Amino acid sequence: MLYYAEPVARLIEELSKLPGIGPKTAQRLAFYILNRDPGEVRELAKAIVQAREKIRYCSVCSNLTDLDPCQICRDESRSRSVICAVEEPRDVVAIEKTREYKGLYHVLQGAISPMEGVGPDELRIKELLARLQNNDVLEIIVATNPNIEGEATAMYLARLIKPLGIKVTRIAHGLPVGGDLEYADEVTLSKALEGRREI
Amino acid sequence: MLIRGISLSNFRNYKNLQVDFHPAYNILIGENAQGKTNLLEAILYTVTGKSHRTNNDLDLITKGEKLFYINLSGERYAGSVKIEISARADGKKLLKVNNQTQKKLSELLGTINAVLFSPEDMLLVKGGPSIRRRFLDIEISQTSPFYCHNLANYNRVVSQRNNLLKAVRDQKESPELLDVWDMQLVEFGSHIIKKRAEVIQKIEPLARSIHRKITAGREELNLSYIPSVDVNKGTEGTSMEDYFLQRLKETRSMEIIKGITLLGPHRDDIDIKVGDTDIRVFGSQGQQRTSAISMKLSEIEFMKKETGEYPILLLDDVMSELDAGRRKFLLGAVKGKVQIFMTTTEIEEVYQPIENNSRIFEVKNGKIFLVQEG
Repeated sequence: MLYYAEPVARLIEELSKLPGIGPKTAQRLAFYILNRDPGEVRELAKAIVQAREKIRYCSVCSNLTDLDPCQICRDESRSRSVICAVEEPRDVVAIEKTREYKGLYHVLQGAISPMEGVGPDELRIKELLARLQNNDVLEIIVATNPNIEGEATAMYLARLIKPLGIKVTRIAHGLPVGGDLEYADEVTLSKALEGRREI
Repeated sequence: MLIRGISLSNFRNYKNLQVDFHPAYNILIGENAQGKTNLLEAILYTVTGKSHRTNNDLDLITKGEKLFYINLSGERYAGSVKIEISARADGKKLLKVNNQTQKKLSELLGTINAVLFSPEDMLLVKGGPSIRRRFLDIEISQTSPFYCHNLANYNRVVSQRNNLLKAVRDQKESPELLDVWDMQLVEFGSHIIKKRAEVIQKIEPLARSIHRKITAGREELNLSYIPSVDVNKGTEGTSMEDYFLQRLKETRSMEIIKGITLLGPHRDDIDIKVGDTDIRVFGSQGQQRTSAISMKLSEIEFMKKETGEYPILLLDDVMSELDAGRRKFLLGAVKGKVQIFMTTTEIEEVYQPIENNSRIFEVKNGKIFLVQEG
């Protein structure tokens, strides 16, 4: 049975392929789009196509960019001596929002996971090593996720890079700032106790 | 801890059920396949978030329905507690504790603790090591969320590592890559081994004293942990973690050939002896049962020690597995301490030891009738 005209059905079908969009939301979005001004819709379509066509990976840090090298890699005011290695482009955004980090990034495009067939060769690790050839870099901060795949990736990088005489550090995990101790879950609190430091 | 009552809708073969329990003994009698175990399952599911019979919530929803809903009211020393849990056919799950929506199932941990005793537990002694490891893991997880977390991570490391071992065997990856997984295997594995060793040390005297009572002092039960990596190794200068790592290096070539992780707490066992006899292998049927009961009952005392309160006890069809003497002991040992829910086909099996301090329900085709109250 056909509930929708064919173009509407196709639009819903395409939208529901997006992450986090189920059939109901896809339908809602489709009807919203159909009620917009045609010019507005054209702008949306253009934005999607242009973003996809213009965006590629930065040849230096593998982040998503329209310029190559990317804005961050070009920025002369940033320190060239520290590189922060992250799994995904969205992690760069998260760290940038802190406004505290003034070094460069390297996006690995994932984490080591033998179950999914992802080994070091599938990640942008060779590209990272290539960046270490000139002697500017003094420290690599490994900011992969605090799960077992992220930890495995961090340890792998440490073993690879430390022998080159470059400092490798791992971001800390523990309590969220500004929260009350009593609201922390037991696992986080146990981890924070393990990672305590002298003051 | 005790459960005042429970209401179910569309859970297994219960369309709608509302039942109030007795604070001491609750006996569910009925023919097979009428829903006795389903009710125990509902209780266990509500207090632990997991079923002991299935990992798939869909199995729990009455055929043809879209969701089930359970509402349980209980009591702990800190006051009353209400747990509501529901799962939908599309996989969504909802949990509320005292009317507050909870995002994580782990919030249930420790709300109400339960110990389940089912016929499979008779295999605790004569069955394979995985049954004994499961016994320990369930027991420790209920009292330590950190252990639960480490165990989940450990299992994930093992399956990642096994995948990698196979890839190395097929020469798709280099063996050096194993190093980063070894470190995590050791980190989580050592924590699990140490915690298990500590818990066995705590439950051994409890189990032994129960066992002494059942056998009227004729037999002496000994439990000891057999870890695949010795906890006490490395006390001279090096840590257990270093020793574990060392052993992994020695085992590596064999692991690559087999394509699986051969060392770690997923290969551990508990040694169970009566006197000098390893009764896992050489025990009589009776000895194996008595020891299994002792270990299960020690779990109850252990939880009381760790949490300050007795858990509730679910006995699923256990009575028919035991002779009159052991039945009497089992029910006597927990008398006045824990609230009991038990299923049975024959009321004679349980009637005598409980001295009327009970509510007896008949379970028939998804409905429950109060037969007797004493």
